[in-house]
Amino acid sequence: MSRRFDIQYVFEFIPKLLAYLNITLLIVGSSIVLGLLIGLIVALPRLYNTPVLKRLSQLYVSFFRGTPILIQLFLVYYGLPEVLGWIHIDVSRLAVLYFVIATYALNSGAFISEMIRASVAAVNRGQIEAAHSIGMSSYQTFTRVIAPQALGISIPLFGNLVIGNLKDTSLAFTLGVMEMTGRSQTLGTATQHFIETYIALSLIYFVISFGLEKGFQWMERYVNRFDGHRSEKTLRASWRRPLRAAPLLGKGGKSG
Amino acid sequence: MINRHAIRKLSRSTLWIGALMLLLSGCASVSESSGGSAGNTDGNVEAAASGSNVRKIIVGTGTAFPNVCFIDENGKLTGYDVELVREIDKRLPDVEFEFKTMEFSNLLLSLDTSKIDFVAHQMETNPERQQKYLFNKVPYSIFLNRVAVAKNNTAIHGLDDLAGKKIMTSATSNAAYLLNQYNKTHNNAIQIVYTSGAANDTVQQIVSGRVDATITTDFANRFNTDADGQVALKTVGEPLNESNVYFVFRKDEQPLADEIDQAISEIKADGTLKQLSEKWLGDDFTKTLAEAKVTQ
Amino acid sequence: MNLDPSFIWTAGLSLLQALPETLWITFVSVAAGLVIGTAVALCRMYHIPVLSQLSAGYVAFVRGTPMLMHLLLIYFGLPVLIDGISSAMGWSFTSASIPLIGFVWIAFSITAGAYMSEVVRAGIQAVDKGQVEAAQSIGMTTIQTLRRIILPQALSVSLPNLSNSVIGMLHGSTLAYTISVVEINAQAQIVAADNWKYFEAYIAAAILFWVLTILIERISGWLEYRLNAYQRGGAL
Repeated sequence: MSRRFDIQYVFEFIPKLLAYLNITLLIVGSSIVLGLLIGLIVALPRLYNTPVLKRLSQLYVSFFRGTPILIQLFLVYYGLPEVLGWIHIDVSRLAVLYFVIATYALNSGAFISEMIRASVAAVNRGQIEAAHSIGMSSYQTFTRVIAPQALGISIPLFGNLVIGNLKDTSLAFTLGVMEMTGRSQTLGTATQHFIETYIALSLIYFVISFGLEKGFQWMERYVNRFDGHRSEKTLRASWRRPLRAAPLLGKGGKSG
Repeated sequence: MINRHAIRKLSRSTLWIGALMLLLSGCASVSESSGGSAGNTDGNVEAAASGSNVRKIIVGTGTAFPNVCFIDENGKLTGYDVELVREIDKRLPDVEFEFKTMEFSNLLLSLDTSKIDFVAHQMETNPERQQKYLFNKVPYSIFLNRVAVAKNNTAIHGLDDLAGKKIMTSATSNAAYLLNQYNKTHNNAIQIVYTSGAANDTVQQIVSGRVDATITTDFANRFNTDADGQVALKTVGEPLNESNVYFVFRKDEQPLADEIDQAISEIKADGTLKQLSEKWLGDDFTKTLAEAKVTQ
Repeated sequence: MNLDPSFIWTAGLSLLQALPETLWITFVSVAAGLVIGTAVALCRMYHIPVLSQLSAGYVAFVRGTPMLMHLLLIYFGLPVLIDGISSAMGWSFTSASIPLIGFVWIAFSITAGAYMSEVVRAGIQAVDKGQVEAAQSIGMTTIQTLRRIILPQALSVSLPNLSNSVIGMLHGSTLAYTISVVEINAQAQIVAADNWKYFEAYIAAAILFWVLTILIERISGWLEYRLNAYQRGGAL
């Protein structure tokens, strides 16, 4: 069949690709939820300065932020069964999807632990001292004072993370997972209309990312609704406070 | 003020409901494909027997070989190798085949690590493969590797004309093995460019002159089309090799290989194999080299 | 599967062949991306009529789609465009004369440009407005203000984000294997297939990327330290 560009194919391909949207969202959703758990567990030793665990955390975060996802996918899919085999757990028959979700969860977990660290560190130290001075325990301080404020600060970062995760799932096809990008490859091979499938796929990703971004912006405004919009100014330098190389948390109005 | 509050409440609940629905639809899809991999788009092959001794065998195949193993426009995995495996499954009541698709270059590694039990992808034999893996005894088609160049290329008539030029092939393929062997004895004359398969651009690269040739076989060449849908490459020279095509197993799977051999012999004997070959490959490629002299 | 640790070393040495390619891809994309990103950020901040909307659209689209898409769209789409214009204008230049890495550079520069524009925007906005007013009150033009006052300070603030973006582009360079460019990932696959030792080759690749990332982080940390010398407290 002719391979000349034909816009009609883009519209034909969109529903075919959307049929696999559920797999993509499943991967994103599961890996973010698991990643939040992993991130929290990994962040705690560094927040509380526990000697040995802190080093392990740093190593884990460094590795998963320091290597490309393609390589992580390969190592987990082919390597994890070998490692588990040493302790006699056989996962060689487990579906690819679980390995893929595990890889993205480990990857997100590393970034999420950094996000937790940054947002907790951004909470004013005076608040912690005040909480201690009225007799709150560490746990109470964390849950009642630090966490709510850190949550508000972390939403833009978290939004970027989730959208980044969504885009990273486009690499799962290299292991044979049939999600949207994988389907676009097979559609391309079947019809020889590659440009059209990639345009259709890009449009779908764009719409979802855009929706997610608007959702997170809305969530940020909602969580920070009591802040009197001072939040927009906290990271701006003023002539009174010196310019510090603060972690830029993506605040300050429009992004993207 | 009240209106804005109401609108915010409404949009908030809509967002939560939307997110919940997405999550639920994702969960629903997982329970549908439970037990199978997400790479398998056609679900389990029907078990011929409902007995509890049915052994599940995972068959590794690719999705990028037109008419051999590919996903058609409706999302169904099909092709010569795939349909043959389905036919074998029908004839073996004590096993149940399930397909797992992946990139071609990952097939043998997945076989090694027991993620799949045998490979169905027009696999040829060569000494390296025979050392590591087990092949069954009854071939199901033959494969002749030939050099393919752009239609208007008059300079190249075989491997020897490719000295100093580039040839494109896939990693782990038998073509790659043959080219590497040639290079060992000819002082690395040919420059091998490996394609990832993800961009499906071999024809484009040859037609535009970035590479000079590739290795293919005649029944596959009709799918090497250009932008107008015309076949863009032509095969030249004598075949580089003539190999029978088998399934590939791990060394310890002789019983399974024997069972499958039995099924293939049956399928050959009653003419089904010839039919499949003519349907998918365009001609009868099922006579082994020993049985007939095949000239393309 | 038994691991062969000595092969990790052999594979690693083989991967070093492909290291220059990876670095080329990364740094050209980042450099071009910075140029594009700064231009785009300035268009948006100064609300230049048509360009600011185009810029916003460009940034939104690039940041909302995977990097693989950018590469494949450019790789398949640009030749159609170029060859079409070439034949219409009668030029002899075809897309075939662009080396494959050229497509990688173009695509990844477009990607980097969008992310860099956000980094630059945040950096510039973090500079105190008072400084800009002061500069203008003594008669500096916009360009002079930008060059002498804003950008130096913006640079020091945006270094963490900049290094994150560079690391992101480094990791993204692994996608170039899809169009047969031999960078570290592709070389790992070749070495793995030739020797039937996949796991060792990939571990070597992972270690190589890890080391490169740590290096970039260290350099960035050192730069931050130096650039912030003027505003550190304590005795000089």
